[in-house]
Amino acid sequence: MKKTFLNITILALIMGLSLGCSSKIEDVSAKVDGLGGEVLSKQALDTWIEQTLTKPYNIEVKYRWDPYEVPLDKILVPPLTDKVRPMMEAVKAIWIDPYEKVAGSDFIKKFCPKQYVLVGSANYNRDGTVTLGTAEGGRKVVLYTVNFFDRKFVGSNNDFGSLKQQLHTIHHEFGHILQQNVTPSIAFRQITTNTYTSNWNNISESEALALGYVSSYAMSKPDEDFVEVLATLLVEGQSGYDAVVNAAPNTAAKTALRQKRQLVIDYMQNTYKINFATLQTLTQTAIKDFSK
Amino acid sequence: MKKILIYFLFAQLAFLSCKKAEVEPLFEESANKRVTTVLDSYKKQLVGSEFGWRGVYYPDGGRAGGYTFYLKFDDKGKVIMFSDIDAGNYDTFGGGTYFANGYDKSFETTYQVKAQQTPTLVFDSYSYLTELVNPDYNGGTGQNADLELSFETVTPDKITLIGNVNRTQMILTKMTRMESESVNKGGLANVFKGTTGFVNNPNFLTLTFPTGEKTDMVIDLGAKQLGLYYVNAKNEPDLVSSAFSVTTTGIQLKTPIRLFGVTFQELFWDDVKKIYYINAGSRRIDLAYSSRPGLPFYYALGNLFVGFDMSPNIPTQSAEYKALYARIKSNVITLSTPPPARVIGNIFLQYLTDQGVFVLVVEYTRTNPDGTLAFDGAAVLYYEPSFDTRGNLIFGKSFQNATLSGNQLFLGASGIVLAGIKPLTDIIENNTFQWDYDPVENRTAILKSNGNPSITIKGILR
Repeated sequence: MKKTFLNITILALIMGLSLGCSSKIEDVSAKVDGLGGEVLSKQALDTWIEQTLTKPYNIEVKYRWDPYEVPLDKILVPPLTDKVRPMMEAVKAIWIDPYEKVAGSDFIKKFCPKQYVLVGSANYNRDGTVTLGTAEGGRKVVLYTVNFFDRKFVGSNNDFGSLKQQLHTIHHEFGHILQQNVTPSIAFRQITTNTYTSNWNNISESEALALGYVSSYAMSKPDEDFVEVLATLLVEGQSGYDAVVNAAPNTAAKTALRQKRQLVIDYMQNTYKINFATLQTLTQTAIKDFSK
Repeated sequence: MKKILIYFLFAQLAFLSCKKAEVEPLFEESANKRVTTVLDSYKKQLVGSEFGWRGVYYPDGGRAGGYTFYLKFDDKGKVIMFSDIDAGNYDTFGGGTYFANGYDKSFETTYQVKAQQTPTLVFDSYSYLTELVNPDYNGGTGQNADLELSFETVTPDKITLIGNVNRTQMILTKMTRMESESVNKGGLANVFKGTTGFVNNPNFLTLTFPTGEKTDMVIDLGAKQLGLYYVNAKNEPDLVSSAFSVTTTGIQLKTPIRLFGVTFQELFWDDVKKIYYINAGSRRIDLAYSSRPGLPFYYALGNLFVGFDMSPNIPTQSAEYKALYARIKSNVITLSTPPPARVIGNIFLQYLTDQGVFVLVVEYTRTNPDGTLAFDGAAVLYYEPSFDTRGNLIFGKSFQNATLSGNQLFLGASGIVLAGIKPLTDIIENNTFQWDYDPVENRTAILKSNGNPSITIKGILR
């Protein structure tokens, strides 16, 4: 007891000594040069983005070149400025609006990715594949091939840079956010549990379909599979998904695809109270109206 | 023991706590402040040039050609850009191009001057420069150009920029009033279009030096490369080349060409005569098109032309060859069983530079009775060239014959065609030849056999 007291006294003494020496108070209020972010002069486009996406949904759209927002090891370019507004109009009309109508604006404000980074070119991978979009931690979505955006083709399946593919990417990435917030039922990954593979890029679409997947990319992980089913259901619509199911060459694949569809619908209903049929119809109508 | 250590540490604290900053900063201002000052001064300099800046740029160390950019920066972060980029030269992965030509139309884009490890000029929206970086061209790689260029050296009239990613160099020079006016009035477009017309001439472009040496110039406007073929001191064919960019006055070379006592780095466009010239000191030398190259025939073969089209329709074609052509044509038709008949078209010799061999290509078609083509291709025969002691050319039969169909080459050739053209192949295989330019016809050469039998064949050089 005595010893402890002594120790505390010594400690207090030393503290006193050390504190006593700092006589000068440093002024820390001075402005630090180079901080405060980038101040870019506002263009008409910036005002539109602010009014349409930033103020209502707290979404930032970055379209001017910043190498540190995109993979540093890739050759990429900023988008054509003319393509930014139509691209984001499509994002708003075909992704935000349907969800907002079905699930309410709080839902979209809570879950939407807060930053969109737009890249003009495709993202070319070393294995010969092309990445069209990525999502990071539910916060940021990078959309590639913005230069190929054309309003007329939003609803069509043209080859490269297909706008349906871009919409698919947006819904795919948003699906990741939902699925990362609340993990889907384990039953989903058990449907085709044996055939997930990292070599998905060596598997053709038809082979993937025969194994019960909507796309070969869906084979990469159960999570990807889940959001691929979700995105296909929304972008291709019910009839589009049915066509995929009917094209499957065997009963096992057909059954798997139907089971996956049902689990996605159940997940949306039970987890987020979203009536999936309504969401699907609204998305389809939005695609048709947008490409008019 | 443990306690002693603890007391000791506390005692240390007591000493250290009184330590005042003793280090005198080397610079009066903080690093941040200094960077901001430099960035501001660079930006001010870019904006301050009344007539803008001319940027000469060689992506990929000049391997991807050269480009000129005419840039006018404003203080609101915008830059107006012209460039000698020809959108028609590119095809994106998805098909089609993004732009009209860069020399025709100005493009307003944005820039930033900011610190990215070093003070850097960033062209941060899509522009003509982005075309050179875009991986949608060149199958996912682009042309190894840079969007972020750091300030290397800065003088009042000249700024050297180095790309942060690919280390490409862009040299900015202050523009004059005249240059700026010329660009805005379509001067660059005029020179670019003039150059396009100039290089599309089918004849050979000759540059004759004051000392009499004739050299052959090749200007590739698509790849932005210029080559000059000449005969060197060892009497061998030689080549000097350089990447170039098109400016409002003509062609600017990346590296100066020094040859036969003349040094030049620029070719000037004469808009009245629609020709190019160089300045050798105070003397003007015009580039001229001529029907035959300056290089001797065998030196030019493979460099300036590779094909020898033995057309019977050349006005001064020899009678004996016309007869021979008619004979082998009818031979092949007669021999063609079953129908449809094979009909011979062009016959030409082509030199394959990478293999060092000649091919004799005999084009033929087979047409169905309903007018559709059953076959459209060629028989291909290979010959290895050699010279005898007197300098006569010998065509030595080599390899197997082949058939060209579509764009594919298949082993083996039609026996009917081979039998039909035998009178011609016999001459080629059993003779020695002299081969040189034709003194009368343009772009034409004469292949003359030394007897057994003696025949003269004229061909168009391609």
